[in-house]
Amino acid sequence: MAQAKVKSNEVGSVTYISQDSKDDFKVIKLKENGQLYVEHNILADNLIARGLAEEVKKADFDLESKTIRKISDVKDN
Amino acid sequence: MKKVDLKNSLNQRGAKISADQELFLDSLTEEINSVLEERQSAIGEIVNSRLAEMELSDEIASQVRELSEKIAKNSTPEFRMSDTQKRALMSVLTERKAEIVEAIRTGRDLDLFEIRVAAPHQNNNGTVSLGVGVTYPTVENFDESSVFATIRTPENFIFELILNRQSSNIVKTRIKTEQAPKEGSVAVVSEANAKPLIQYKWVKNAIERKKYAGRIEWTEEFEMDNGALFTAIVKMIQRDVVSALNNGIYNDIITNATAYTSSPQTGKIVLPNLADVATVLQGLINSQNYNADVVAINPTQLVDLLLTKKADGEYLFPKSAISDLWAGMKIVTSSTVSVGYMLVFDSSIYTEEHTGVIVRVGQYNDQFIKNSYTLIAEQFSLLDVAKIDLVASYYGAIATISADIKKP
Repeated sequence: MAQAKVKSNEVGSVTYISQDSKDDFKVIKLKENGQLYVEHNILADNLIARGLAEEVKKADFDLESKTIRKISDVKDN
Repeated sequence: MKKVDLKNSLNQRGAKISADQELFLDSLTEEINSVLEERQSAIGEIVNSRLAEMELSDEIASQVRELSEKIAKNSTPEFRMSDTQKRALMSVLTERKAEIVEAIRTGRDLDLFEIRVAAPHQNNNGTVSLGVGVTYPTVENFDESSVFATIRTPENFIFELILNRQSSNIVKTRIKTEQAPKEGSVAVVSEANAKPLIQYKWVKNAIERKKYAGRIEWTEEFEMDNGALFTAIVKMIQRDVVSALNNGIYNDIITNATAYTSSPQTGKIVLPNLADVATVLQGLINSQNYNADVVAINPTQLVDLLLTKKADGEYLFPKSAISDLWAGMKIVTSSTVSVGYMLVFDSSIYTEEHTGVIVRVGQYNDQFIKNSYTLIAEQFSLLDVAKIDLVASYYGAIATISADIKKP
């Protein structure tokens, strides 16, 4: 059977989602249980937009760095 | 000696102090000054008594006195806090803020927490003490258990999940060569047409080893008088180094894990539960050509799931069917996993190399003349993983992922 393919002018590409920076995350309060969570901006914004959570701007958090790094980041010590 | 005056210092900086705060500042100032005075006088007394014994000339004695004053002024007790301790302290202060304010206002005592600092094992420093209300009998109508009851620690589960091996030497840095997206691709080519050029690209990443270590110190007398207990303590520090290694690897795995952002199931699942969240994460991993095979949760979470019932009291998930809920993934329950969080990953992306527990005994500083010893216990470890494989591990809050996939 012949394969049908949708024609599009848009060129598809792989989207890279950054998860390494503190700016990629935010603190939200989930309305269902009132607890605070540090979530990725995509999930946080999605939950806020759907009215399931609200952003908590005053809360601070730490983001631990991953154990594997680019060669340029490795210091000779 | 110059005295501390917190109130005056704050006033000079333009701070507005209420009556309640003034009371607190006065008592704090008094306490700080009394501690400083005690330390000053203790050091001063020791120096003066030694000077009297040694019959030094006035000039040298005066220089020694001056030096001792400088030491008293500059020396501070050693006190270090790890990030975890800092977070715990902040958490206690935040949770009990109302009580603290009330205690300052009324001036009553408040036991917030005890700050304990490790010390060498000695007979005379409280290493072994009698429990509250316990007195040592004077008659021979008792015996002592030869079993030492120890505080339970979470089971070391990580080595059951990932491939690991022991080695005598662990390199400091391991370079990983990882594939990056290639340029060009194979295509169907007609006669006499040029074949497409393809370039495979690579990136080099680096992983560094970690060292998990601790030490104990003891006096000759402690070892001599508490033989069995001392042997147990030596075993315990080795056990604790292995536990720290296990917990460290687990922490590295969750730190490396990908954060959940969204999934094809977003807004589509009716009344999602724990098993649904695990299945969604498994789907995300498997759709990237991996094979998620482990779910790690806190035991509390599994109990919640086991006890979920329908309105008529019938169990929603028969206990025998629990393993089927996770679509072939191994369920690991451990108190090491935070309550409310879940780790789902393909265990084949990780390998680990470690040394055995290295134990050495020696003496440093004046331990030789004090009949004291030090034992160090350490283990080196390198957790090997490629950065491109981190998409095969997800760690996240069950509540937020449930909220995301829940059908409105």
